[in-house]
Amino acid sequence: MLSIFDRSFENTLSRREFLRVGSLALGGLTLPGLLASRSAANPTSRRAFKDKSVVMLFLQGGPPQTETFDPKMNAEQRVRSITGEVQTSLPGATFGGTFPKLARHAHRTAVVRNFSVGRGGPSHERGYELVLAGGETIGSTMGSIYARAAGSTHHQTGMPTNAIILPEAIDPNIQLGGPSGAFTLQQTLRYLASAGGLGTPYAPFNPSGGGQLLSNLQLRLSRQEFEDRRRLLSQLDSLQRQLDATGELNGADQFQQQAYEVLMRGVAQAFDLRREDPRVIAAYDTSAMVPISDIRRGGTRYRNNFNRSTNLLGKQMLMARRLCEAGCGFVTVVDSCWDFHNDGNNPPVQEGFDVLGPQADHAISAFLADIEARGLSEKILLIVTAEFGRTRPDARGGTGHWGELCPLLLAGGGLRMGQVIGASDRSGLRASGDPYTPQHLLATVMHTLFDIGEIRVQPDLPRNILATITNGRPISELV
Amino acid sequence: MRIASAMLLTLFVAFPANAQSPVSFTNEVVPIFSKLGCNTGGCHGKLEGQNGFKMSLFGFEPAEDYEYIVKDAFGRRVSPANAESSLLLLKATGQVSHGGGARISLGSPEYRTVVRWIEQGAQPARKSDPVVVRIEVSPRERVFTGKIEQQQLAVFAHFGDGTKKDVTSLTQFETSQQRIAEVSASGLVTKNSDLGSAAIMVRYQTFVDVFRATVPFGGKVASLPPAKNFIDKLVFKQLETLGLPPSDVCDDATFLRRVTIDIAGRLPTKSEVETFRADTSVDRHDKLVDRLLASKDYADYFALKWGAVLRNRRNAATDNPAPTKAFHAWIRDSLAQNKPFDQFVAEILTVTGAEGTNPPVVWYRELREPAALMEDTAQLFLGQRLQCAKCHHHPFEKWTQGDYWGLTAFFSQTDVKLPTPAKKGKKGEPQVDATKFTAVAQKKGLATVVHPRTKETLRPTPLGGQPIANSADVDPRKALASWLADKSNPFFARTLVNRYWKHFFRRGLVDPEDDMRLTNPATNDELLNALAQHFIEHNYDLKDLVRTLCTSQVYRLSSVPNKHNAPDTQYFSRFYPRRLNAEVLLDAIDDVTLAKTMFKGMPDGTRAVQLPDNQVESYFLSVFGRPDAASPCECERGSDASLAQALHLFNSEELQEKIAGRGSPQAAQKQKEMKAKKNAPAPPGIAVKNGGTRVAQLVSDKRPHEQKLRDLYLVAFAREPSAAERAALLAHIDRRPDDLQGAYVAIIWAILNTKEFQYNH
Repeated sequence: MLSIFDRSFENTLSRREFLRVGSLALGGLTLPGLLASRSAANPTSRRAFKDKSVVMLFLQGGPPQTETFDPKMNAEQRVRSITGEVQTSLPGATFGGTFPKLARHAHRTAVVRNFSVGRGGPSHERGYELVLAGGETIGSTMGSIYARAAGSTHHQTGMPTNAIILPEAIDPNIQLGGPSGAFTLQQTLRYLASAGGLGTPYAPFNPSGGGQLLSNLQLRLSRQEFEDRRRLLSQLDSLQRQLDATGELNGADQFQQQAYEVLMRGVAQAFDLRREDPRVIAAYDTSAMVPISDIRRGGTRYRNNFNRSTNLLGKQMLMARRLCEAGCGFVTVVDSCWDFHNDGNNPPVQEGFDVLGPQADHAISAFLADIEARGLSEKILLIVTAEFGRTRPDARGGTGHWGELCPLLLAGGGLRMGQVIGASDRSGLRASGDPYTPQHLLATVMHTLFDIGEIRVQPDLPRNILATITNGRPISELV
Repeated sequence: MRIASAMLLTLFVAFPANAQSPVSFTNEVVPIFSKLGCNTGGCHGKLEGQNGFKMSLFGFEPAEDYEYIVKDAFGRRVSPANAESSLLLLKATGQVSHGGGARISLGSPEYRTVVRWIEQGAQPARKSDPVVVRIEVSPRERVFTGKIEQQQLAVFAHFGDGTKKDVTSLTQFETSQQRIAEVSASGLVTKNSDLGSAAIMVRYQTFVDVFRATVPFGGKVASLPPAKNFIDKLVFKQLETLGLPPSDVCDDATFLRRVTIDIAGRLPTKSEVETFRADTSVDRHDKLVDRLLASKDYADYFALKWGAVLRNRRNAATDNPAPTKAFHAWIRDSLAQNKPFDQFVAEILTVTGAEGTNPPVVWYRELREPAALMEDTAQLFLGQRLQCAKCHHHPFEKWTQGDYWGLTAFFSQTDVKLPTPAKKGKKGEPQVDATKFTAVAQKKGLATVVHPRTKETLRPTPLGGQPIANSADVDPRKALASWLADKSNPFFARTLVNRYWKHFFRRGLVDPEDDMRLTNPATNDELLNALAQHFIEHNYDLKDLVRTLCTSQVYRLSSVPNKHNAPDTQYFSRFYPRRLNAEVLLDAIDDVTLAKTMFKGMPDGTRAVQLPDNQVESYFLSVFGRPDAASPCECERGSDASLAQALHLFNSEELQEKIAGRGSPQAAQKQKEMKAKKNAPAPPGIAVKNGGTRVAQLVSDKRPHEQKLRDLYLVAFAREPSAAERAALLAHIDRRPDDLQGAYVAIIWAILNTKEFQYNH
């Protein structure tokens, strides 16, 4: 069990708050317990937050809509899923053939089959912007918008409120990706971790700094020593405060404050999977499901763009759950290389799903089973999506980018589950009727995280951010 | 209530709305699609069009647009018999489902123009149509003083036949600084909350012009420091116009630290501080600048700067470091001997032979292709980003695809041979030996490039100039280098002086510094021209340029704002503080802690600013934004703060060891671990011999704490502690009577984390 609070920190809670969580604190406040107590401290402004988290699993590359959650096996041959279909626990609904485990959780999910992110076949980069920033909004990712409203660290736990979990966060020594292309670490961070114009303090925290970052999260000094040094630092800084009379150096201050909270509140534990029950780790672990050494050795023919795929997705999902428990409100998990052109660089659909499908199936299922068992399924909304879907496969089983339909599955978060929303048309390329768009997804996310009525009266939020949070219409079947 | 300054808001009708007069496709119809955003890169303007309908990007190719609109799709887009039911209009008005929504409202002037054009038979561009030769915005400038809050712009097109027409309603407007001035679609400029100056770009067809909106600061410039050179005169002149009083001149200690960091990339030493404090001569500041320029630290620091933008990089730490080390040394030596900048550039551009022996070949190795070589040349030495013009007319600039490929032609015969493995000869042929190095050679034949669209053969052509008369025997790169160095070259000197201005003043006179397009004007054009002129007259002397910049009064202005100039971020009325570069910060920490960072593969004692390329591993440098040298842009160097940085300085093993020293419990523990592992390699990014000795020195030093603290402050801040600081520090020591070591560790930790330490101010 993970105890996030050190006893000495209890004085930051109000007395009543302390009494309320007191019994838990005595035995070490557990993460779920902490989550429950996350409301609190400053009720006036906190009232706008619904005390929930969003985990977005982003299948970078854009898997076909038909191979994931809309197999269309009754359509004509060239439209149908190549990987076949499996029956699900939701009567009448089937998933793509590589998702048998997830199919058993289907009644806990909602599948949106008319999710359209843009016209034609956009580039990966454009797709990232469209989906993660909710289409034509202010150009900042949903997570950074949340962080802007919630503050970049959680008011009680010090946990960054917006985080991104790449494979490097699980294995800091892993070297992934080539020097160019849309899946490089640089491009991935640039787009998936963008704060747009909100400023870097609101960009997602990326706990994959080559190993050192994680070790830097563990306070090396005694708390008293650290406090003492910080007091001295504040004294010295304030004696030279004319240096920052313009507030230009304020960014540095904000990060020092964040660092202080992160260290004092022991946030590091949330990033440390060793603190997890080995049985839970085993349940999530996907390392045996991907022939990873085969891929690394060049055993597949698709070296160039397949080289950011890993076998670490299960542990990434586990870390996502731990971060939510510790107060992170928006976690982006990236699983890469779902790009099936069959052009020499990228595999065809069947081979791609043989490699990536079983791991995703397992990782998502393990996550759903785990949060269900922990009673967190109402508190955490899981979103599985990508930057776009695909065109129909060509004769060789390759597919192109296609924005007019994109895979989208949601689970939990207190939304209405156990339904299939919308439908694709006969061609398998367009929504039947009006589609749902990234704006609807953004609004669904914001309605999950915020009490929209309360956030509207927050005086400190810039108007354009407020408008982005409040103006959209959520997917109506879900709310 | 806002008061429009242009009381005569005459609503010119662009072209008479007379049903008889023919509507010009090029001059009236296409600009409507540009204005409404139909032909942008995100919509119909992209290469493959949008939903089967393509337009030329920004309407730069009206002839193509005519084909797309009138001829394609079996002509179903326009119906001259019933103009208003043309698909083009039904879509644009949203009467028929349109992904882009309703862009034109029924009955609007734009709508009526398109209707008339279709009614007249949807005619293509006619030979008799007047051809635009330039556009002109009026007025060109407006200072928003007093109650004036708005300015209506008028845009006129001048035609080849000598006529002039108002095209305001067909023009696109865009502001460079939304927070200073906004502009409406109809060209009404409104001042906003911020003070300063904004450029409003106006675009009609392929032509652009700029209006400058200035919102003065409202202060009064009562007194100015005496001007020392032309920089001071021109900056102060502008400050007076803007009502922006400059900050006072900074004190000597601040100046010493500032200029040493900016020229030599390091903190001043204790003895330098003491010498400078003792110097009372009037010209001590100038002598200091000269001394720094003569030091090898100057060359080290500027080699770091140039190495990054000249792509002196390796892909992996396992790649052979010899070529990048050679190029680094070549850059450093060139700077140390103060090679004139035109010669420095010419030697890079015209290099031939193998890397290592001909060091600049590394630049060719990284770029390889003629177009890539040209793009970097343009961005680095001409301040022009031509990438857009590769595929289409540059949307914010006058450059066409012809300009792009004409400039590329200078490199078209340049052969970049990459290393090859050995090959067995085919029967009867000798074995081909492996080559280890990249080499550059001139291919046989006349340098030309084929224009990808017009298929015209282009000879090497300087930007905005005439094709050169090249022959097959002369390397055209020589002509390129001479054109750059020509005293009449309008780009070369301006680009360099602007780049160096930015180095010393944080913001370029044009910013970003490598995007010197017409629509991104300098905040002080007169100054930029004067600096360029000075640089040319002094034969591209880099040290002279640095001396000129650093001995100005403007460079000595304090970073502390006065009542009026805190909002100023572009007129240099105060010094804009900036965080120390990754390498400088690491070296500065070593100087304060007396630690030595060990870099793998580098000789003992190498400082971070002396590292030859991007692949010398260091977590510290990565996290503080060391560039990867993978682009010609200095923006690759990260200057943003981050949580990871704060955590590293607060709480990393690396810093702890530097501060607490080798004798610290942590270091001892580590040594034990290392011994236990015997020959185990050091963990990545953490140097082994890392401990600093400063604390041990301070603890064993028997002098009073006051004196020791003074020394520490001289090293870290180039000044003595104030009385209040001294009191705070002594109180801190008193609180730990039994732990002097701990007290000093905490003091150094705090010093390294202050803003004063981490910033150049």
